[in-house]
Amino acid sequence: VALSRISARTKFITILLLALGVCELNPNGHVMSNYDDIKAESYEANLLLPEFKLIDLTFGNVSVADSERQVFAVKPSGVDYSAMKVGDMVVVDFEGNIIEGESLLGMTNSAKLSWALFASPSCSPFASHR
Amino acid sequence: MIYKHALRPSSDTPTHCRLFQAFTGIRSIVHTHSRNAVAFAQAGRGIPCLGTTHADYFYGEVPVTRPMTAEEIQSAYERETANVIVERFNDLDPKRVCAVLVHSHGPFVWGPSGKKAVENAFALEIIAEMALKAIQLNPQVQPISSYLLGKHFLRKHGPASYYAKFKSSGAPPARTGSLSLHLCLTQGLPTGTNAEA
Repeated sequence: VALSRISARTKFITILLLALGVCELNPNGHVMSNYDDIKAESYEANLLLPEFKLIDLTFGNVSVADSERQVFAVKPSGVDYSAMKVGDMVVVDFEGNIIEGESLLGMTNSAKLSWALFASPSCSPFASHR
Repeated sequence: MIYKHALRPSSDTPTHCRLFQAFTGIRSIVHTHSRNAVAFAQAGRGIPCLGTTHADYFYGEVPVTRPMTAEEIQSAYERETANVIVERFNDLDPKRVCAVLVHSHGPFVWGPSGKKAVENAFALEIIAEMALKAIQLNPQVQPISSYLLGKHFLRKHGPASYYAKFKSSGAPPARTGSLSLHLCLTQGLPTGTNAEA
Protein backbone atom coordinates (compact mmCIF):
# COMPACT_ATOMS: atom_id res chain seq x y z
CA VAL A 1 0.00 0.00 0.00
CA ALA A 2 1.40 3.33 -1.00
CA LEU A 3 2.58 5.63 1.71
CA SER A 4 0.52 8.40 0.19
CA ARG A 5 -2.57 6.58 1.40
CA ILE A 6 -1.51 7.18 4.99
CA SER A 7 -3.63 10.26 5.28
CA ALA A 8 -3.10 13.45 7.18
CA ARG A 9 -6.13 12.52 9.22
CA THR A 10 -4.49 9.25 10.29
CA LYS A 11 -1.36 11.11 11.33
CA PHE A 12 -3.48 13.58 13.25
CA ILE A 13 -5.32 10.82 15.09
CA THR A 14 -2.02 9.11 15.90
CA ILE A 15 -0.54 12.26 17.38
CA LEU A 16 -3.76 12.97 19.24
CA LEU A 17 -3.83 9.51 20.84
CA LEU A 18 -0.16 9.83 21.76
CA ALA A 19 -0.88 13.19 23.35
CA LEU A 20 -3.80 11.73 25.28
CA GLY A 21 -1.56 8.97 26.56
CA VAL A 22 -3.62 6.23 24.92
CA CYS A 23 -0.53 5.04 23.05
CA GLU A 24 3.15 5.15 23.95
CA LEU A 25 6.30 5.09 21.90
CA ASN A 26 8.76 2.28 22.47
CA PRO A 27 12.54 2.94 22.43
CA ASN A 28 12.63 2.51 18.65
CA GLY A 29 10.26 5.40 18.21
CA HIS A 30 7.35 3.19 17.17
CA VAL A 31 4.00 3.10 18.83
CA MET A 32 4.32 0.58 21.63
CA SER A 33 2.98 -2.78 20.62
CA ASN A 34 0.72 -4.66 22.95
CA TYR A 35 2.79 -7.67 22.01
CA ASP A 36 6.34 -6.38 22.56
CA ASP A 37 6.96 -9.08 25.18
CA ILE A 38 6.12 -12.14 23.07
CA LYS A 39 7.72 -10.59 19.97
CA ALA A 40 10.97 -10.10 21.87
CA GLU A 41 10.86 -13.60 23.37
CA SER A 42 10.11 -15.15 19.99
CA TYR A 43 12.86 -13.14 18.30
CA GLU A 44 15.46 -14.17 20.87
CA ALA A 45 14.39 -17.81 20.72
CA ASN A 46 14.52 -17.82 16.92
CA LEU A 47 18.07 -16.49 17.05
CA LEU A 48 19.03 -19.44 19.27
CA LEU A 49 18.30 -21.85 16.42
CA PRO A 50 21.39 -20.94 14.37
CA GLU A 51 23.38 -20.59 17.57
CA PHE A 52 22.56 -24.20 18.48
CA LYS A 53 23.15 -25.23 14.84
CA LEU A 54 19.62 -26.57 14.62
CA ILE A 55 18.83 -25.11 11.22
CA ASP A 56 20.06 -25.08 7.66
CA LEU A 57 19.06 -22.37 5.22
CA THR A 58 15.82 -20.82 6.48
CA PHE A 59 14.19 -24.02 7.79
CA GLY A 60 12.86 -23.74 11.27
CA ASN A 61 10.81 -21.38 13.39
CA VAL A 62 9.86 -20.64 16.97
CA SER A 63 6.57 -19.25 18.22
CA VAL A 64 5.83 -17.84 21.66
CA ALA A 65 2.25 -17.52 22.85
CA ASP A 66 0.28 -15.34 25.21
CA SER A 67 -2.34 -17.91 26.13
CA GLU A 68 -4.56 -15.45 27.97
CA ARG A 69 -4.92 -13.32 24.87
CA GLN A 70 -4.86 -16.37 22.56
CA VAL A 71 -2.13 -14.93 20.34
CA PHE A 72 1.44 -15.83 19.48
CA ALA A 73 4.44 -14.22 17.85
CA VAL A 74 6.16 -16.21 15.12
CA LYS A 75 9.06 -15.85 12.72
CA PRO A 76 8.21 -14.29 9.36
CA SER A 77 8.35 -16.52 6.31
CA GLY A 78 11.58 -16.90 4.38
CA VAL A 79 13.60 -14.27 6.22
CA ASP A 80 17.27 -14.90 6.74
CA TYR A 81 18.13 -15.23 10.42
CA SER A 82 21.03 -12.81 10.10
CA ALA A 83 18.77 -10.07 8.69
CA MET A 84 15.80 -10.61 10.98
CA LYS A 85 14.71 -7.87 13.40
CA VAL A 86 12.46 -8.07 16.43
CA GLY A 87 9.91 -5.91 14.62
CA ASP A 88 9.68 -8.56 11.89
CA MET A 89 7.98 -11.02 14.23
CA VAL A 90 4.37 -11.48 13.18
CA VAL A 91 1.60 -11.71 15.76
CA VAL A 92 -1.16 -14.17 14.92
CA ASP A 93 -4.17 -15.28 16.92
CA PHE A 94 -4.97 -18.94 17.64
CA GLU A 95 -7.41 -18.93 14.73
CA GLY A 96 -4.69 -17.88 12.31
CA ASN A 97 -5.65 -14.24 11.81
CA ILE A 98 -2.75 -11.84 11.51
CA ILE A 99 -2.97 -9.38 14.37
CA GLU A 100 0.22 -7.44 13.91
CA GLY A 101 3.24 -7.40 11.65
CA GLU A 102 5.62 -4.51 11.50
CA SER A 103 7.94 -5.48 8.68
CA LEU A 104 7.74 -2.14 6.97
CA LEU A 105 10.64 -2.47 4.59
CA GLY A 106 11.54 0.91 3.26
CA MET A 107 8.68 2.68 4.97
CA THR A 108 9.04 5.79 6.99
CA ASN A 109 8.52 6.13 10.68
CA SER A 110 5.22 7.84 10.15
CA ALA A 111 4.02 4.83 8.22
CA LYS A 112 5.21 2.61 11.01
CA LEU A 113 3.42 4.83 13.46
CA SER A 114 0.21 4.68 11.51
CA TRP A 115 0.42 0.99 10.93
CA ALA A 116 1.15 0.23 14.55
CA LEU A 117 -1.76 2.42 15.54
CA PHE A 118 -4.17 0.67 13.25
CA ALA A 119 -2.86 -2.78 14.15
CA SER A 120 -3.04 -2.36 17.88
CA PRO A 121 -6.48 -3.33 19.19
CA SER A 122 -6.29 -1.30 22.38
CA CYS A 123 -5.17 1.78 20.50
CA SER A 124 -7.58 1.64 17.67
CA PRO A 125 -11.33 1.90 17.95
CA PHE A 126 -11.90 1.00 14.34
CA ALA A 127 -9.23 -1.37 13.01
CA SER A 128 -10.07 -4.98 12.42
CA HIS A 129 -7.95 -7.60 10.78
CA ARG A 130 -10.47 -10.36 10.68
CA MET B 1 -7.66 -2.19 6.08
CA ILE B 2 -5.18 0.40 5.02
CA TYR B 3 -2.01 -1.63 5.26
CA LYS B 4 -0.92 -4.88 3.75
CA HIS B 5 1.82 -6.83 5.49
CA ALA B 6 5.13 -6.85 3.71
CA LEU B 7 6.09 -10.08 5.47
CA ARG B 8 3.90 -13.08 5.99
CA PRO B 9 4.14 -15.26 9.10
CA SER B 10 6.00 -18.54 8.78
CA SER B 11 4.27 -20.96 6.43
CA ASP B 12 4.02 -23.39 9.36
CA THR B 13 1.81 -20.96 11.28
CA PRO B 14 -1.42 -23.03 10.96
CA THR B 15 0.44 -25.93 12.58
CA HIS B 16 1.38 -23.69 15.52
CA CYS B 17 -2.22 -22.43 15.79
CA ARG B 18 -3.68 -25.91 16.04
CA LEU B 19 -1.07 -27.08 18.55
CA PHE B 20 -1.63 -24.07 20.80
CA GLN B 21 -5.36 -24.80 20.66
CA ALA B 22 -4.95 -28.50 21.42
CA PHE B 23 -2.11 -28.55 23.95
CA THR B 24 -3.30 -25.95 26.40
CA GLY B 25 -0.53 -24.72 28.63
CA ILE B 26 2.39 -24.90 26.21
CA ARG B 27 3.85 -21.45 25.59
CA SER B 28 6.36 -21.98 22.83
CA ILE B 29 6.66 -24.28 19.82
CA VAL B 30 9.84 -24.94 17.87
CA HIS B 31 10.05 -26.57 14.47
CA THR B 32 13.39 -27.51 12.97
CA HIS B 33 14.80 -29.83 10.35
CA SER B 34 17.68 -30.85 12.62
CA ARG B 35 19.39 -33.71 10.88
CA ASN B 36 19.41 -36.61 13.32
CA ALA B 37 15.83 -36.05 14.43
CA VAL B 38 14.81 -35.83 10.78
CA ALA B 39 16.62 -39.12 10.10
CA PHE B 40 14.26 -40.86 12.55
CA ALA B 41 11.26 -39.04 11.06
CA GLN B 42 12.23 -40.11 7.55
CA ALA B 43 12.77 -43.68 8.72
CA GLY B 44 9.29 -43.55 10.27
CA ARG B 45 10.66 -44.46 13.69
CA GLY B 46 10.18 -42.89 17.07
CA ILE B 47 13.31 -42.23 19.10
CA PRO B 48 13.52 -44.96 21.73
CA CYS B 49 14.67 -44.00 25.20
CA LEU B 50 18.04 -45.72 25.34
CA GLY B 51 19.65 -43.77 28.14
CA THR B 52 19.41 -41.25 30.92
CA THR B 53 20.19 -38.25 28.71
CA HIS B 54 16.93 -38.94 26.91
CA ALA B 55 15.10 -39.66 30.19
CA ASP B 56 16.18 -36.31 31.63
CA TYR B 57 14.06 -34.56 29.01
CA PHE B 58 11.44 -36.92 27.59
CA TYR B 59 9.38 -39.46 29.51
CA GLY B 60 9.79 -42.38 27.15
CA GLU B 61 9.97 -42.72 23.40
CA VAL B 62 9.67 -39.56 21.32
CA PRO B 63 6.83 -40.67 19.04
CA VAL B 64 6.52 -40.46 15.29
CA THR B 65 3.19 -39.69 13.62
CA ARG B 66 1.55 -41.82 10.98
CA PRO B 67 2.18 -40.79 7.37
CA MET B 68 -0.26 -38.17 6.18
CA THR B 69 -2.90 -39.15 3.64
CA ALA B 70 -3.20 -37.67 0.16
CA GLU B 71 -6.32 -35.82 1.26
CA GLU B 72 -4.56 -34.31 4.26
CA ILE B 73 -1.60 -33.23 2.15
CA GLN B 74 -3.75 -31.73 -0.58
CA SER B 75 -6.16 -29.88 1.69
CA ALA B 76 -5.09 -27.72 4.64
CA TYR B 77 -1.65 -29.31 4.80
CA GLU B 78 -0.14 -27.31 7.67
CA ARG B 79 -3.20 -27.62 9.89
CA GLU B 80 -3.50 -31.33 9.10
CA THR B 81 0.14 -31.69 10.10
CA ALA B 82 -0.87 -30.54 13.56
CA ASN B 83 -3.89 -32.82 13.52
CA VAL B 84 -1.76 -35.94 13.04
CA ILE B 85 0.35 -34.75 15.98
CA VAL B 86 -2.74 -34.28 18.15
CA GLU B 87 -3.99 -37.70 17.05
CA ARG B 88 -0.66 -39.27 18.04
CA PHE B 89 -0.97 -37.70 21.49
CA ASN B 90 -4.40 -39.20 22.18
CA ASP B 91 -2.78 -41.52 24.70
CA LEU B 92 0.26 -39.39 25.52
CA ASP B 93 0.79 -36.42 27.80
CA PRO B 94 2.41 -33.47 25.97
CA LYS B 95 3.71 -32.27 29.32
CA ARG B 96 5.79 -35.43 29.73
CA VAL B 97 6.83 -35.88 26.12
CA CYS B 98 7.47 -32.39 24.80
CA ALA B 99 8.43 -33.43 21.25
CA VAL B 100 7.14 -35.36 18.29
CA LEU B 101 8.43 -36.38 14.88
CA VAL B 102 6.13 -35.80 11.95
CA HIS B 103 6.53 -38.72 9.56
CA SER B 104 8.86 -37.99 6.63
CA HIS B 105 9.14 -34.39 7.85
CA GLY B 106 10.76 -33.54 11.16
CA PRO B 107 10.48 -32.55 14.78
CA PHE B 108 8.07 -30.24 16.56
CA VAL B 109 9.10 -29.46 20.13
CA TRP B 110 7.49 -27.34 22.81
CA GLY B 111 8.11 -25.88 26.23
CA PRO B 112 7.14 -23.31 28.81
CA SER B 113 9.20 -20.49 27.25
CA GLY B 114 10.90 -19.72 23.97
CA LYS B 115 14.31 -20.45 25.40
CA LYS B 116 13.25 -23.71 27.06
CA ALA B 117 11.54 -24.91 23.91
CA VAL B 118 14.71 -24.31 21.87
CA GLU B 119 16.75 -26.06 24.55
CA ASN B 120 14.38 -29.02 24.31
CA ALA B 121 14.80 -29.01 20.52
CA PHE B 122 18.56 -29.05 21.01
CA ALA B 123 18.25 -31.90 23.54
CA LEU B 124 16.11 -33.79 21.03
CA GLU B 125 18.78 -33.48 18.35
CA ILE B 126 21.43 -34.71 20.80
CA ILE B 127 19.45 -37.75 21.96
CA ALA B 128 18.55 -38.56 18.33
CA GLU B 129 22.25 -38.65 17.44
CA MET B 130 23.03 -40.76 20.52
CA ALA B 131 20.21 -43.21 19.75
CA LEU B 132 21.25 -43.49 16.11
CA LYS B 133 24.81 -44.38 17.10
CA ALA B 134 23.68 -46.79 19.82
CA ILE B 135 21.44 -48.61 17.31
CA GLN B 136 24.36 -48.79 14.87
CA LEU B 137 26.60 -50.31 17.55
CA ASN B 138 23.92 -52.71 18.77
CA PRO B 139 20.86 -53.14 16.53
CA GLN B 140 19.19 -55.15 19.32
CA VAL B 141 19.58 -52.42 21.94
CA GLN B 142 16.56 -52.16 24.25
CA PRO B 143 14.94 -49.13 25.92
CA ILE B 144 15.97 -48.45 29.50
CA SER B 145 13.87 -49.83 32.34
CA SER B 146 10.83 -47.99 33.60
CA TYR B 147 12.65 -47.60 36.92
CA LEU B 148 15.57 -45.76 35.38
CA LEU B 149 13.27 -43.75 33.12
CA GLY B 150 11.07 -42.73 36.03
CA LYS B 151 14.01 -41.94 38.27
CA HIS B 152 15.59 -39.56 35.80
CA PHE B 153 12.49 -37.87 34.46
CA LEU B 154 10.51 -37.54 37.64
CA ARG B 155 13.35 -36.25 39.78
CA LYS B 156 13.40 -33.17 37.54
CA HIS B 157 9.81 -32.81 36.42
CA GLY B 158 6.56 -32.61 38.29
CA PRO B 159 5.64 -32.28 41.96
CA ALA B 160 7.84 -35.17 43.13
CA SER B 161 10.99 -33.70 41.60
CA TYR B 162 13.96 -33.12 43.86
CA TYR B 163 14.09 -29.66 42.39
CA ALA B 164 10.54 -28.84 43.49
CA LYS B 165 11.24 -30.15 46.98
CA PHE B 166 14.36 -28.04 47.32
CA LYS B 167 12.46 -25.03 46.18
CA SER B 168 9.54 -25.56 48.55
CA SER B 169 11.68 -26.39 51.59
CA GLY B 170 14.27 -23.77 50.90
CA ALA B 171 16.99 -26.34 51.57
CA PRO B 172 19.96 -26.30 49.23
CA PRO B 173 20.27 -29.19 46.80
CA ALA B 174 22.75 -31.83 47.88
CA ARG B 175 24.03 -32.38 44.33
CA THR B 176 23.85 -29.31 42.20
CA GLY B 177 25.60 -30.94 39.25
CA SER B 178 22.61 -32.94 38.08
CA LEU B 179 20.32 -29.99 38.58
CA SER B 180 22.09 -28.07 35.88
CA LEU B 181 20.43 -30.48 33.46
CA HIS B 182 17.03 -29.40 34.64
CA LEU B 183 15.44 -27.83 31.61
CA CYS B 184 12.30 -29.17 30.17
CA LEU B 185 8.91 -28.73 31.75
CA THR B 186 9.33 -27.91 35.37
CA GLN B 187 8.03 -24.40 35.09
CA GLY B 188 5.01 -22.76 33.70
CA LEU B 189 2.74 -25.62 32.71
CA PRO B 190 -0.50 -26.23 34.54
CA THR B 191 -0.92 -29.75 35.94
CA GLY B 192 -4.04 -30.51 33.95
CA THR B 193 -2.39 -30.18 30.55
CA ASN B 194 -3.69 -32.72 28.09
CA ALA B 195 -4.18 -33.17 24.42
CA GLU B 196 -7.68 -32.57 23.24
CA ALA B 197 -8.81 -34.86 20.52
